[in-house]
Amino acid sequence: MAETATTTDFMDDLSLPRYIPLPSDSLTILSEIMPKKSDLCAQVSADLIRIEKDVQEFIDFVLNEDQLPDLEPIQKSLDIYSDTIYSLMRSAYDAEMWINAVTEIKNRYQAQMHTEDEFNLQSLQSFRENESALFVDAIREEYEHSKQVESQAHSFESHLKHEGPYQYISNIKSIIENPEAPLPDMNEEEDGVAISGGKVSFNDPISLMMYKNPHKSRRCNHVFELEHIKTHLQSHVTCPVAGCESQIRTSDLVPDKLMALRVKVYTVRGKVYRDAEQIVGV
Amino acid sequence: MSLTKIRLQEERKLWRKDHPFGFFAKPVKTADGSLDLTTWKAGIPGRDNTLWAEGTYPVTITFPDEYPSKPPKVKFPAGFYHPNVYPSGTICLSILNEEQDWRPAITLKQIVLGIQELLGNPNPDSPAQEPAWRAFAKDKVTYEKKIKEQAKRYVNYSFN
Repeated sequence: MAETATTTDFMDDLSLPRYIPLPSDSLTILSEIMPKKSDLCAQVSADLIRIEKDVQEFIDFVLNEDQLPDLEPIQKSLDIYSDTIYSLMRSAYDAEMWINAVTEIKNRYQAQMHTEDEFNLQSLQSFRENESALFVDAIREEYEHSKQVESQAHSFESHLKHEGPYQYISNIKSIIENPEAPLPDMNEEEDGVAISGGKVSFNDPISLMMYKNPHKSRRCNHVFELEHIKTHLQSHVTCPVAGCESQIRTSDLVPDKLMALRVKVYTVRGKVYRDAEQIVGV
Repeated sequence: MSLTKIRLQEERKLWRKDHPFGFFAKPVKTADGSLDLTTWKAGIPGRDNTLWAEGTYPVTITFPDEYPSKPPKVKFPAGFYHPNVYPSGTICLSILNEEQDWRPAITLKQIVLGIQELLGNPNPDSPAQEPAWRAFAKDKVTYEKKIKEQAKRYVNYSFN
């Protein structure tokens, strides 16, 4: 949201050249139909940050419990969070479209002013009667038009999917649903989750043991058990994964809470064959 | 327990659960009958429709104390005929070289598949023995004859 936040009220930006004789009430009309962008953006940003914090706390809570807490109410609150983010983002997106519509129509009017005949009292009168009303209508029409184009192109949906918190919550929901399922790939190249046979591996690639404290390299997104990757980095700078050219330092490692959540949900739900295997195996 | 031991136990479990068709791999038994996880015997089948197809070739895999930080050493029997195998039997392959492409995430399965690939596709740029390398580069008829003879020696080869 940061890039769209602005401190100036976008109504200031509406100023047409003084020679365009818009009656002052058209500004009033506009201010009634259009959202105030600065307020809205600040509100949306604040709400998103709060939601992100809540979700982070939820994950920490689940990870710190020995038992898996009852997931149903948690899933419900996650749904509410996604819906809230959806509405917040939707209003911000609509505000953006209003602003674009205003800019578009303003430019169109300015272009017209240069080509048309000079004003006299008569033309001014007719302008006041017709054009000024049309100015507001034209903006409204332009807005409706871009809204229609948007809904056909689903550009808002793809915009939403790239929004961090929204994607994060859908990832958590997907993990609770099925901890072994790979996440839908939003940024193909970024995704470094190891997948074998359509399942996500819960095993550290260095020890091949199930993760206890998974950490992710910010350079390449490869996930490792903290203890083992630290040892590896004492004598190497290369990523331990074959074919990965990234150079990693210990400072590039960040906790991978989503992987920790996967392991937690998977183990606690009792789908652990490993214990049984240990008795039979070796 | 050391990382080396943990990793080797997991490799063993992984191999027992799933390994490529026609391959075998197991840790050797020590004098007292227990398993020595740091030394494995493995069999690598030649790929179908190649000169190597008939044989299953024995290798000894030795894991150093620093494994998986350092790669295992993989050896054919001494005198094995292949351009990239030293007279001692040691295999010259980039993924088995710490200075080159070895990475701790490379599993036993990937190693043996890499060696199978090397059998039919020698790397002419890293000669490790004179006879096979020279024949491969200059006398294909002799090379193919030797490979086929060798394949016959390793038909149904087993360690038992």
